[in-house]
Amino acid sequence: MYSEAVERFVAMGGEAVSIDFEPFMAAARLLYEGPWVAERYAAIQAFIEERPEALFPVTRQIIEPGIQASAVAAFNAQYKLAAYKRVCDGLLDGLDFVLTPTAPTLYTLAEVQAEPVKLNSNLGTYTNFMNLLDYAAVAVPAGFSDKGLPHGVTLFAPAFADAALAHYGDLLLRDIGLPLGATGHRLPDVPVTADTPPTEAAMRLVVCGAHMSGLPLNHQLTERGGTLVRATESAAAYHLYALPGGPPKRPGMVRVAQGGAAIAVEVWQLPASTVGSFLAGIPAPLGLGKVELADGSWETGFICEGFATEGARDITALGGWRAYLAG
Amino acid sequence: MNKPMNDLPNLSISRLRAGYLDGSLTPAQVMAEVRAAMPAGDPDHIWIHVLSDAELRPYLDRLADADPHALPLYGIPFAIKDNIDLAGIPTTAACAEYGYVPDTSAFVVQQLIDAGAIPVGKTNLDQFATGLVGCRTPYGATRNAFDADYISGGSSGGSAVAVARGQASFSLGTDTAGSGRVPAAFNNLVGIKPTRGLLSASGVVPACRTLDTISIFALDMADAHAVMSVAGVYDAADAYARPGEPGPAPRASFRFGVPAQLQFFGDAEA
Repeated sequence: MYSEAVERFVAMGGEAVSIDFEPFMAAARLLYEGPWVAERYAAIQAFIEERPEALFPVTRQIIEPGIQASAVAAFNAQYKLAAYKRVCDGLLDGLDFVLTPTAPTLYTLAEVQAEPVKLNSNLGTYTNFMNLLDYAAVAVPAGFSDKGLPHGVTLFAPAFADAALAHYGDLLLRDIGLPLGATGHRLPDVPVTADTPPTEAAMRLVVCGAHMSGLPLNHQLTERGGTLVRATESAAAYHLYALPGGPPKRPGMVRVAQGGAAIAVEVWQLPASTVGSFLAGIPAPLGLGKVELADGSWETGFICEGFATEGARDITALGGWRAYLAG
Repeated sequence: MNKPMNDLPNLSISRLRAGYLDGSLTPAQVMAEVRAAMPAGDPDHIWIHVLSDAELRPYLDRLADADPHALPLYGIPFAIKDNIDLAGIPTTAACAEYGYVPDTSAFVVQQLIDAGAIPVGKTNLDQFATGLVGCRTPYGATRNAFDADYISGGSSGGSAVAVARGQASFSLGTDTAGSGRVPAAFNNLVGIKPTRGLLSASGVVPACRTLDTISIFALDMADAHAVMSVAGVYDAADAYARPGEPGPAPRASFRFGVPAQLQFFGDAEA
């Protein structure tokens, strides 16, 4: 099941990279073997000291010893964890995510009742380290065993990668096409291709000036995690003006009823959560609106208020901002 | 095996929302579907408390005059792990003696209700969210949604099985060591374990306060993301909350890590 998920991601254009997993496992072991159980004790201290018999027997057996962990042990564990995190972060460098099974296996009730603590620990093999190391994760279904039991895989990455993880997880889900939960119903049929992430996760933006690749304001996109989707042209319905002012010098793209031309533009995508801060930095007379592209699609992009064209130089004939800069 | 799967309703948010927007569905109809999906006596031990008709009424009444277009989760039924507060309903953390009745809902629950979502009830869990199995609870071991001989996974077992068996569109769990992911895997669901601090912990019984996060179970990724978008509001009153930061954008050609060491404890099919 797990190796099938790996193969699916490879078939979708992913490159699988083998990584040493021992540091993650070592961090995972800290959670139950280390002093963090004291934190579970702290959470219910007054209650567990007043009415220990009210706890479920195995729960009491796990939490009650939490009072014995020393502050010294807690600090020593913090130091160990920091060291593991340094190593693990290094292993994640250059990767978009790590793919693991979500759980190593699935037990029967009878098996767990016979060995409640050990089997429980086994189940956390691929999950215990996640919050300790400050990573984000999504668990997604990955198929069924011959017995008809579900298995899953987990994608994880450093904190704040939530939207990207949702995108990659969605790719896998749609590729497998499993029923929803135990209901037998199917995913709605919304085509998603590798370069069109869910609209909630990332927002596309058409840029025509200083935000294009290699130009002075491009960093405003890249530092927000923006990526270039494609370079293309607008529909033949725009005028392009070199606006006064700057630096940086900026163009203004204005839609016209007649006599417009196709303007060279770039389509970028930004994590949706960053669009607000980007928007706040856009000066008048520019703004975001809908731009028609050469293929007839409409995307959100930079447009210019009509009044600003007075006194600005019409550079429509050059076909784009780069051509103007080169001239 | 449990009862035939195709009897269960499709409560996916996209389906319900389409029905609400074109006027072919009402919240009362959807809640009737939810009730019909719940077998008498709750043999899978999913719930600790299901809202009565009287407890449900205020949530339905407030939708009566609301515009579905204006509320992203209008009429979407959801389940709440019983270590997360819902105003006026006991929070037990699966320990009745510990239980209390909160005056206000957890910050995240309130965001969802404000967006039009309807709470169905409070779900069973490994007591005090300690465990990954779903059977460390005096309310009865939660059964796997596919085969009642198997565990649901935990600690958010009830929240997972509620969604898998068509008794809620999505649910809230919590995740310290895997409680939002292991039950997702065992019940064929999406489980979001957000970056710590993005979802407020106000009104949540802590397990490890420095590590906990609320988690989301959903039928598909679009549903999970719709919930996350509503729930992910910064809460300055939670000292461990963090405002969102820009993350990396998805790439068409991506690199992903595969552990060199894999451990399946003898399960050849996993």
